[in-house]
Amino acid sequence: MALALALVGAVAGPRTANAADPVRFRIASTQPPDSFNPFLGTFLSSTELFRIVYTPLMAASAKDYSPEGGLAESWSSNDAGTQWTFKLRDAKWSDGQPVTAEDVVWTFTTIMTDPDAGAGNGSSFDSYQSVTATDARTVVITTKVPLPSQVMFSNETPILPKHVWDGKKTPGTDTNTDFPMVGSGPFVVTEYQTDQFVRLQRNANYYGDAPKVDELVFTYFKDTDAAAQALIKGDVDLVPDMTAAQYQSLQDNSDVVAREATGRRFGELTFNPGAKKDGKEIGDGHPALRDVKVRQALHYAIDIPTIVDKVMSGYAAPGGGYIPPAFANWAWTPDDATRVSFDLAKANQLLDEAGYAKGADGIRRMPDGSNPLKFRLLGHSTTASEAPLSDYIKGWFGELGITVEPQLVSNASLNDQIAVGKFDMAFSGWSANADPDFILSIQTCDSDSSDTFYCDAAYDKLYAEQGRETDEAKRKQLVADMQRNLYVNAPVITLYYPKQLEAQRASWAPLVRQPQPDGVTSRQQGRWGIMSIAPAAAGDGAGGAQDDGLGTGTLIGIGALVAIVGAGGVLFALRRGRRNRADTE
Amino acid sequence: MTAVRTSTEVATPAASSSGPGSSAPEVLRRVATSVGGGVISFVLVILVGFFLFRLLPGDPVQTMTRGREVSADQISQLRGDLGLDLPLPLQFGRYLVGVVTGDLGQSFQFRVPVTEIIGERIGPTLLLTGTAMILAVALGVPLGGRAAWRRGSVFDKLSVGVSLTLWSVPTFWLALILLMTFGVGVGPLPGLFPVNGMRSDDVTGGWFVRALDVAHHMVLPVITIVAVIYAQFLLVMRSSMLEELGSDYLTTARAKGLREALVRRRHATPNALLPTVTLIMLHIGGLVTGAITTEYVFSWPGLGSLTADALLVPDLPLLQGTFIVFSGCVIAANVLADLLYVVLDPRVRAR
Repeated sequence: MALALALVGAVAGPRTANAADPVRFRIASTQPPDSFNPFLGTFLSSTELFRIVYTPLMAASAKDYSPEGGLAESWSSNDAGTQWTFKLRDAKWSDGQPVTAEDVVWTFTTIMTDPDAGAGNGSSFDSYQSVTATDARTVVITTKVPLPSQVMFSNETPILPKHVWDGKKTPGTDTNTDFPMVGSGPFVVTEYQTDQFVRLQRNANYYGDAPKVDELVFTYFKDTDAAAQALIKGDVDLVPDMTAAQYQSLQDNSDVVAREATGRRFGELTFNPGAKKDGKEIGDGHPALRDVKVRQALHYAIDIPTIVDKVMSGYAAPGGGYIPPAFANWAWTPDDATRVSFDLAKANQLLDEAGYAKGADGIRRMPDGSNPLKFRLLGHSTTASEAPLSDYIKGWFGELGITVEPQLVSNASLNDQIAVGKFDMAFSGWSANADPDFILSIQTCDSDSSDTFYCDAAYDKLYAEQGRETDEAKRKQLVADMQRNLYVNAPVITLYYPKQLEAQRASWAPLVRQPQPDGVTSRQQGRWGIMSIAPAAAGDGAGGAQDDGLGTGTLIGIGALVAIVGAGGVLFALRRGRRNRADTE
Repeated sequence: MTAVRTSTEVATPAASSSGPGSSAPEVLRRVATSVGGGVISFVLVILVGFFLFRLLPGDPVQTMTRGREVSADQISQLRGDLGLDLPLPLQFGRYLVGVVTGDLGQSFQFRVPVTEIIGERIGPTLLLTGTAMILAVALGVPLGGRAAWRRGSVFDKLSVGVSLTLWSVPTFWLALILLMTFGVGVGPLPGLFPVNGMRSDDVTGGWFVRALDVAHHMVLPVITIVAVIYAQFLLVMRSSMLEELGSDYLTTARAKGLREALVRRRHATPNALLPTVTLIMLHIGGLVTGAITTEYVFSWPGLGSLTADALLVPDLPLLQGTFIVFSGCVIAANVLADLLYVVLDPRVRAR
């Protein structure tokens, strides 16, 4: 026992003496980073770090995702929209070196010329002609075609320090784990414990206002229930994403502030409108779904308010246009003339008019009497909400004389079946960005990531036009027209825009949201939430903010453990003694 | 070990007079058979490992690029980087050459060598499951022995009842209950133990302080695993002990005037241990596979959930690597169990 107490003392000693512990903010993360190299890392957990450590040329504002300066202080373009000039601010890397135009040139040219470095960065550089530095603080980008300003400004590529990266043999595949990282953001990564946590420390050379915490820790939870429990305990200060049940369980906890946030995602039901690859038909989609009239009728048979209420427990906004309302600049809401509301009688009437008569068994047939209308519905077995969602859709379509066979399968298996066109209907979902170009490209004929196989000449024409329209108002109209096209032709039906359910400890001031006023505080396009971390105002019960290491509970725990081990040892010793005596008998 | 051998020989006098049968070639033949069998199994594992995971649905390139702006060129570039554009026989050839030279390839997701990824995580898994295993054996075997010795008693019924209840409890549920009760705290009980990971981000100091920190993190996951698995050892030990109870050599031992506890410990237990040893060895093979559920709930940085995540992509090199390591350990443990039997049981040597 004495030994046990001595051990506890040994641990407690240095801990309590360390009164000036750094102020630390901990964020629960659901996945470890896949790479610390910005050329390689694509997991959300990695890109989130890159946004903090490396400042991009331009950033999306907290207010409404509109473009703001990152490293750029001012920017301009020629009238044609083919030449872009960026003036850099007076900034330093965390190692004290100045940030120069050469850093930008090196980063962009490496992506454009080194296939390894380009692979993780997507196709946004395809339209770039050249990137040059005209002086130490001026970068000029020339594009092959005119670009809308929003497209150019949405390039959020992290700018890397040339003087550090030039020395690396293969920048495109380097692990970038020489900590501390050299960055230009408010924090730099200083430590990584595999699958456990990433530690970031304040960058003293940051150009902006100094952060109000010394350390930022992304701590990894495989199980989200455990993350919610850690928040209750105070082991973490922010949980970015939780289930409805976890969220509701935190409502009455006075130490925690839980909130619904408008996110970037949308959930959709996609139809197989006749899958084609390289002009050839593939798969075995039901022929009825190639008929726009059938898809329109099905649109009337989906009760979106019920889905939001019953399936999403109210934690979603009802679906409409393709782009989520978080992007107020681009979101489109159907006007009264085009709006489709739940109306089974109307749906039945549309199907009757289109010639899909019911057979003797009550199931509709193709107009020529063949092929009963029997649709497979693919869903993700890992997404809990898709089981009840399938049941609702099965019920509503059943009222129309259409049989639905829900199949909940693994993500990989679902993607495989969709890729070869072997499906009739499927649940899907995407995250939109500040610029709508990518999300709209998904529905074009030659999209590489299509899961609808929609191919409409009018839509593709609009897509091409918006991609080179430099007048923002005109481009907005084109984007609205494209969303109307999707809504009316219904190759895909936007069901809902899920809320991101977050919670933070009340001992911290509420974090800044993006977009304002009800957006997310983490997983932002930017680092507004991170920059706003500060202890709650005095008198607001800020006691827990500065958690000084091992608390009393922890010490008792260690004490109990040591006592148990000690007791075990004593027992063992006693038994040994007995055995020795026995042996001498 | 020596104690076990001595008493075994005392207990089975036949063994000492085993005669010409216990020749060295006989033992060697047995050793060669087990080791040879192990090697053949391992080669089969290597061959199967390649094709097994290629049956999984999902295109790794598609999974990895979904939701990102990628051009067709970049997709084919990625396919080339991952070696997925090569004909299957060529991929298989590369894989074989790699395995022989100890190179298990690069993980698709993490772009670092698979051996490195496994190397980083096998330690924590072994630490967790190894500790739990030792404690479960140390708890289950003596309890089982005693329960059998006093069969029908309250102690017997209680230990069998409790262990079976814990054995049938879902691991996930038990882990979460422990986490909420002792990790977060309930009512007046403060949170005594950490709820995730293996280290704290705010503990600095010498190796001793850090080791204590790791031990502190281990408490709840270890208790979870021990609670769930110790019943197996208890029941096997109990039933094999029951078989020994009526044996003549125990009557002989008692006739010598030995105390009851000594009769149990020195005579009955060593014989009853044999089936338990087999069970323990089989479990040692499974140690690396870990306790996936427990690792998951307590976010332990081990191998278990790594494999589960890799299945979703599917990250073929990583899956092949973990498959080889897992199977290799099970095979090695089986071979060891076979060999240990030769050492432990003189009757095997005799045959």
